[in-house]
Amino acid sequence: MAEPQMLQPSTVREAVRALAARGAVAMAGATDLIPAMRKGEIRPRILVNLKGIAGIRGVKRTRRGIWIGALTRVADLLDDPVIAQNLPLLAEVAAEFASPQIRNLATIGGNLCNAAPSADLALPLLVFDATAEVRGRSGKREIATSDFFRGVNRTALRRGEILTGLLVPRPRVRTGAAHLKLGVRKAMDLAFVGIAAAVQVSSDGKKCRRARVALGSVAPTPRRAAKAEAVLEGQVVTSQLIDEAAEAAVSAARPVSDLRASADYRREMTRVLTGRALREAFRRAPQERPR
Amino acid sequence: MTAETTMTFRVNGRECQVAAGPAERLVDVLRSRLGLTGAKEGCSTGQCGACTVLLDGEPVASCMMLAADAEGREITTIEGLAPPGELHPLQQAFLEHGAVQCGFCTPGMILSAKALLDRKPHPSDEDIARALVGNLCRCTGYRKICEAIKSYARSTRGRSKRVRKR
Repeated sequence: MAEPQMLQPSTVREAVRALAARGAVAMAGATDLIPAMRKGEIRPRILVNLKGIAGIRGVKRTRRGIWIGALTRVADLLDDPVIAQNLPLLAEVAAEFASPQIRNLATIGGNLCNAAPSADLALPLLVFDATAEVRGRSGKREIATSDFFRGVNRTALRRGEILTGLLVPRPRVRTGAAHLKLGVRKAMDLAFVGIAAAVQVSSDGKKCRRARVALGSVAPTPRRAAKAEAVLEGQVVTSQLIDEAAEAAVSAARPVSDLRASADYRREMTRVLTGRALREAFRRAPQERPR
Repeated sequence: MTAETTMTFRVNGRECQVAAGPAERLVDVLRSRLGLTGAKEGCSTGQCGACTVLLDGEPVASCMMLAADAEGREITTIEGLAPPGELHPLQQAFLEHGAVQCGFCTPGMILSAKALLDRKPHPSDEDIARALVGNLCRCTGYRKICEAIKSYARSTRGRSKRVRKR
């Protein structure tokens, strides 16, 4: 491969300026970028290595929720005390992400900006209504994660913009969440189907106040299953209601047939796994306010 | 071709200055420029773990990382586990348990195991399985590898107790 020029900005401002150039490509953990460059799918003239930028790494509590810097490595999500306490689902997903060798390199921002249909970390962020914090030449803006993914490997980022962090509202009381991933091998596999669900129940535990369902690997982008959510919200939770929601989730799936699984199989597994993830999420939802 | 840049990092305890392309991968610099061929390139996509090395004590896929990103950091390859001509007791345990057949996955396996044992000297079977999920072996069926790691962990039981007391 032709050697690109490498730039190492130390501030977001410098990075944004460097990325405005034609042929400039942002690089974080590089675990998606390196194989893509070797295959010739991406031919950057300039590699803008973001890893030296201070201040967009790590996890913090803020007034608006939990802030996760885009350069935070997947491995760091696994044992972060703020994540463990507030967003344990994100730590669960991180624990099944690729392999230790990749988790020690890959970043949460990179996983989202690569925008693979199977992006594991997108699912918990979608069900917790996370917002992407973006900086560009014209300043800052925020994008709901549900609007962030625009197609296979395409995001809402404009040229010269970078993702600096994720803002995740603290999950509401009486919320339970679960994640399921179906693949052949425990490690490394891209999922055939990935499902995350988060539900908030009423104080008597009988009704579903709020529901979020996100699907991975069954459409060009990770996405919410709005119809499944609508089936649940405001209703008394019964086994039949969960089955109806699972059925409704299939309508959000636009799966392809490929080497790993057929479209029909993916649709069927979307239904089965949505039902299981919802049941687990309701089981985990505490009936009374914790603490 | 862009000019090569000089990068400095520690490899197996020794300071190394290497001139390499800015987009050169760590596995290429280790194997071709430093002659450390213990790290194997298998799949080139981070799937197989044969290229595993330790970066500041943590396992990373050296085929998925640029050498430039190792600037200022400590790299351990299989060559660095024991002095030349000697074996680290963990390597010895692999030999004794028949955990090495074709040997291609072995350096990566041992380094993944080493990172686990440094963090957790007496891992459970589940810990071992989880630590090795990123390393493929087509020969041994993994059982002998897990036995070798457990046997090594048992052999250090007395030693790590003494360390803890201090």
